[in-house]
Amino acid sequence: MDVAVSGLVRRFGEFVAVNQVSFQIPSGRCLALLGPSGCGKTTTLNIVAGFLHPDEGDVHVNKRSVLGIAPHKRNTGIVFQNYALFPHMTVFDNVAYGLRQRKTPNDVIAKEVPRALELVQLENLGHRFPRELSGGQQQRVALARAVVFKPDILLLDEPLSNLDAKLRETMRLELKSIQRTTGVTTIFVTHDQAEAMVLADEIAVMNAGVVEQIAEPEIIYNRPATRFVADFVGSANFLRGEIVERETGYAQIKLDFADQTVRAASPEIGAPTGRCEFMIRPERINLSLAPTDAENELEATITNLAFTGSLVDCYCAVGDQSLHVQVISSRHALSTGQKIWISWDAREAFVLRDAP
Amino acid sequence: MSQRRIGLLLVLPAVAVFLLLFIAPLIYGAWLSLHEARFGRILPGLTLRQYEVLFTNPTYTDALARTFRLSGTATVLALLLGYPLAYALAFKLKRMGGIITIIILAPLLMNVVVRTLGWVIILGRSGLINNVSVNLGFGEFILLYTETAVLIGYVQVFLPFMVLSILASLQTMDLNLIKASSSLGATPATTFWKVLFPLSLPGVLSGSIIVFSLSSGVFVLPAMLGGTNLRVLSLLAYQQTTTTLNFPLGAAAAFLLLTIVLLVVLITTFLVERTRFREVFRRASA
Repeated sequence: MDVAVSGLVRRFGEFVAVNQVSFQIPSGRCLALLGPSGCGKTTTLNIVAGFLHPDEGDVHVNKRSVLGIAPHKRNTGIVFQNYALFPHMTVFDNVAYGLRQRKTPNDVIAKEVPRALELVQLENLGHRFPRELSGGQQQRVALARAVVFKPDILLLDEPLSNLDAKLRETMRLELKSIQRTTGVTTIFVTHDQAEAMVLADEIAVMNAGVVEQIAEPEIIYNRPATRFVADFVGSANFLRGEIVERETGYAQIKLDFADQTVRAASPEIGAPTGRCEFMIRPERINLSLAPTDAENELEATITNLAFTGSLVDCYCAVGDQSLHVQVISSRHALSTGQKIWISWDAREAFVLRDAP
Repeated sequence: MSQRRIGLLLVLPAVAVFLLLFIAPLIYGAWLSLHEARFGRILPGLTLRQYEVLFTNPTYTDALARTFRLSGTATVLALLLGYPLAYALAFKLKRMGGIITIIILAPLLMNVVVRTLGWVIILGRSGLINNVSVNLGFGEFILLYTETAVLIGYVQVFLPFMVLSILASLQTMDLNLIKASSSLGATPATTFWKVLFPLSLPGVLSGSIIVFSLSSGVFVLPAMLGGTNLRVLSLLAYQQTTTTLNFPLGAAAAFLLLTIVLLVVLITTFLVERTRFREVFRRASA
């Protein structure tokens, strides 16, 4: 089932929680609503689920508006952040709940529930109560319960945030494979960028009720539209300057902090002329101990070093601009105060849409 | 001093008061009930004579039956009236919750005799209800000194305990459970019966136990609203002790009441917790 959300607005008193949110999800795909808490992602999810009514806008499932349909008639599977398993029912009864509401015959339930439990690798725990399960197992039961009745849409509200870090990584991949196997159109809400990157086909980055950018994970990371997106997803250096010349897909920028002109990739349409800000990821900056002939090369001084194991975070200064450079740890013997030369491929720097 | 010592020292005053003021009279009452008295004087020698009276004399067997009929009915009525009220307070009238809670609690702030006298005035032969009824041509109803009057009194006084008890269990309910049930396709009615109600059973049970035990123990209310003909066990115990001065019989009546209430409470709890809802109670006590 393809899902289309158009122009959603939802206010709580004076506060605009969701402001003109639109997105489309083709059938069987997975969209992540990514953003900090209070950005409107959960409100959006609640509107799609039918628990909240939008002030403006519409939600279409398979080209049909679902706004007038009560939540229990929508055929939506939901996994809640706290799992919300019925504590007085066994795992089997929890999973069978959706089927029973649909008047599914008992012999079908007896087949479908074990199949769903098998999907989440809990085939032997049907007789247990939720209390007797670990957090990860409860999460799987919640998932089995939400997909067993073949919902039109699957909604996941911070599904992995209550699990510890190790388990979260395994569950991430498992969740992805289950989503692919069942082929159910999925929307999930998260504030964890890694979760969104791994799970989603497309990510909608939200901030203060507004969708800042919707794109595939690679594009979100490599070509963030706004400073917020670049900053929220991964870490980024933000450099300012003046666009002095433009060519197809690129801009020549005179830097504010150094008497030098560099090149950065730039969106074709609507790119600012004049003042601009561009971003570059720490691991995309090359570091060398002597000047090379590379383009976009700047002389810098190391101000701080942090060894994190496989990587070294190197903080350096070019004039009064501080830059974060990430290098693989074994390659360089670096020390604070050392002079280095940093450079980047013009494709790796990207001019942001919002001019400073 | 070890933490354990300090802990013991801190509970000591309460335990002492409890032993002195509660357990000691209880033991004395039990001992007393196994005696006979003549003209207010306790005779030596143990006997089960008082219990024999309680179980054979029609005055007492009637009172016993009436006690539990009234308390049981009051409990059911309080539950039927209290559950919707608690439900509305928890989910539908959150903004007015404070005011309504005060209104519900108000009866508890008033002296029991004053409050009951109010009912005497309203229900009496020439009381408010009959005045209105006669003037409208419906004739006169006999309300006061009937079991109905006693029940009205019980329900009014004990309803707050039921409401607050159920309210507590509804307010701690995870609202995502309701959303989950709804998203799985359950109608609001199904969600109520399959999820909300079973999970509120601990509140229902504790509310019922409170209402049942309190209403089987009061004597002012049945004395004033039930009159002389509708005697309950607690009232007889009171009369035997204060008027007739047959202390052993009063003690036996009180003891019988206590034992039966305890048994009812234990058996109900045991039965409910043994059913398929046992998981709810495990969670509640965890």
